[in-house]
Amino acid sequence: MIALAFALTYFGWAALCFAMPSHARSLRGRPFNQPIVVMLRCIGTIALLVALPVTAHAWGWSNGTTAWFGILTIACLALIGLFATSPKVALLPLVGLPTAAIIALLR
Amino acid sequence: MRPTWLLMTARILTGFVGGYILSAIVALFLAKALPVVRLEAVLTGAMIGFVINVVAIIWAFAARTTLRACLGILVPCALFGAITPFIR
Amino acid sequence: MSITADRARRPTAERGLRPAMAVLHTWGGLLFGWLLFAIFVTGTVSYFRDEISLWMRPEIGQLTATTPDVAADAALRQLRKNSVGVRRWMIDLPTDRSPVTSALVLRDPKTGPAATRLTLDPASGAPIKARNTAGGDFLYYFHFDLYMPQRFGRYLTCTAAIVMLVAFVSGVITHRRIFKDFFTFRPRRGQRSWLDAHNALGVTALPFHVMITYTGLITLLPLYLPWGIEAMYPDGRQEFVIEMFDDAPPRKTLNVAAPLAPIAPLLAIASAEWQGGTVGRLVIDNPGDRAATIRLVRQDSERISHAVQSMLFDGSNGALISKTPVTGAAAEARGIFHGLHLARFSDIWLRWMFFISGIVGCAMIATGLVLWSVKRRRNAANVGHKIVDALNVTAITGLPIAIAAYFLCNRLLSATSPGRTLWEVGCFFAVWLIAGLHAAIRPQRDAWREQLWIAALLFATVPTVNAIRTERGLATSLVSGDWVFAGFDLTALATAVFFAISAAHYARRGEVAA
Repeated sequence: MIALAFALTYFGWAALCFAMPSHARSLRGRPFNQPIVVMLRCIGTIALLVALPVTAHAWGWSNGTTAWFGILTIACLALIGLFATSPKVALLPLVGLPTAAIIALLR
Repeated sequence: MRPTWLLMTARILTGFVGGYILSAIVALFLAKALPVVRLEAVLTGAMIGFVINVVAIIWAFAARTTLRACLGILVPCALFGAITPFIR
Repeated sequence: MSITADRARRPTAERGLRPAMAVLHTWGGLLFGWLLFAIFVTGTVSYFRDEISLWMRPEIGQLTATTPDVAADAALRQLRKNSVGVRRWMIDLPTDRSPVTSALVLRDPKTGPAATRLTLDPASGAPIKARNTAGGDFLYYFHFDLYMPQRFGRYLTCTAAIVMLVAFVSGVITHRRIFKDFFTFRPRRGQRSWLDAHNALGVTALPFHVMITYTGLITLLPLYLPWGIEAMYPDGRQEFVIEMFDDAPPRKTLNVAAPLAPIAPLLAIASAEWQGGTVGRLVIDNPGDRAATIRLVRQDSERISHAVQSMLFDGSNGALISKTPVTGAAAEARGIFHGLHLARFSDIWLRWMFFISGIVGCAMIATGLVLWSVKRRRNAANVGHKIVDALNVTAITGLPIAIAAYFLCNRLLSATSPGRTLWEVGCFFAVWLIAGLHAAIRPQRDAWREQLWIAALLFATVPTVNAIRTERGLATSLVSGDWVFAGFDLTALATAVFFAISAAHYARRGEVAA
């Protein structure tokens, strides 16, 4: 559950990040088209919000809300750190985290 | 044009000292005036007082002129200060 | 005379909202930054206060978990052995994080020492002979008390917290590109990098930072804004304390001996009242007298709210006298704010998240302080700047060095050294002072480089000395699953690695640039 929350928030922040023209440019040389930008922003925001009921499931609503803020912070900082290293490296957790989450959920 | 240091000092004093005084007066006013059990009133007053303190400091620096900065804090202080002693 | 030229000649605060907020943020941040850094560091470390206290008393081995009634009975059996003139027993039952029973015995000064602290084995009640040390409590109290006399430190901390909140508001207002610059961190670009880091650390953890600062003020509410209390409780503070903490003063003794009622049924009643909650503390007044009372206080790690829930029983017959009334909205809000600040409700995952957020806060303050210096490098020769630079080093590297020294001192002094508690605390301050002098004397670049390496060295030495002086070194604790000791040693090593990387980075770049 915790891994799933991290996977969702990291994905959400990443989507919001690459929707921004300057950051998309660092990744692929040019910004995404407007419809894709809108979609990335929507999906990104939804992913961040969906992480809340996930943390609530793991911790209960009061502790879960607190955990949600913590996970948002950590995922955002991780993205910023990796993105600063290289935009492509920042994409790695998009594969790694959901994999970890699926493994954790299947156990 | 008054010297810069005087205007800045005015803002600093009004903001930090005046801000605390305003927050104290408002906290006291709320403690006495709120129509609830006294523990509730006291706590509400203080919790809001902290916010007032921060807002006052921001106001002292955000106000466009030093005069507005000072009045924005001194006038509420005077108003609440005048009313509070007469509650209950 | 154009409006813009006229405007440009006005003092900065009058040039517009953003410049005014920039002035407020920069100067408020600088003047209170060193103090706030110390408060944030000791506060962050205090998330693991219990664990630090356990590490600093290695004589407390790994203890078997017990149920509250077993622990309570064992403790009372031990305490009854010396109950002459006792006025109050405060027994803290073992928890997940602090597996010992702690007892505070308050007695009539004519019959013995006024206050005695005991650490008891939870299962047997036997006293545990552990070394005297302030443990994690020293850092915890320093966090808001600043080790100053009277309550001066607490007033100072409150003022710093107000300035911190002002810094957040002014920082957000003045951060023109807060949305455009989101996710932006450009390393190795000197001043730009420091600003990016400061912004990122501030914005990503902004909810935590604002929460922790405001709730910190709430914990010191009766001190900083006491005027409402003074006005509404004219008969004195006592009434306020009773209402807020449900802490009635003890009844007068009848001087008639009577045995204490059995505790186990009372624990069951309390647990039922709190829907399965656990008793965390027993407060027994006038034990052995007919006027004895037993107060059961709920463990504060079960709910976010720190508002007290307790039940008061007659000590001789076990009858219920009173229980905490339902808290009103404001009192519950205050309880939640207080609880959020102390984070006692958190499990290990949440606790680490709070800890990481705290570190982010420390880093935000540190990058802000360094940014101030880096931005004004041209003026580095003037006295004011030299003082700022020296204070930056003293705070940012000096304080961690002092903390490492505190831990080292705990291990290097023998368990039975007289006055070792004072030696440990003295060591902390002495080393911090020396770090300050070093920062003042050495040229700025050398001061940073040397202190970064010293910090790395000292933090690496902590687990090493632990392994040498006790039988609970890192290898042993990893094998036996002793996560308190392993976690502490590993964190110390991680801190050492962090400082070593910073030192290497700094040496390579030759100046304070990312």
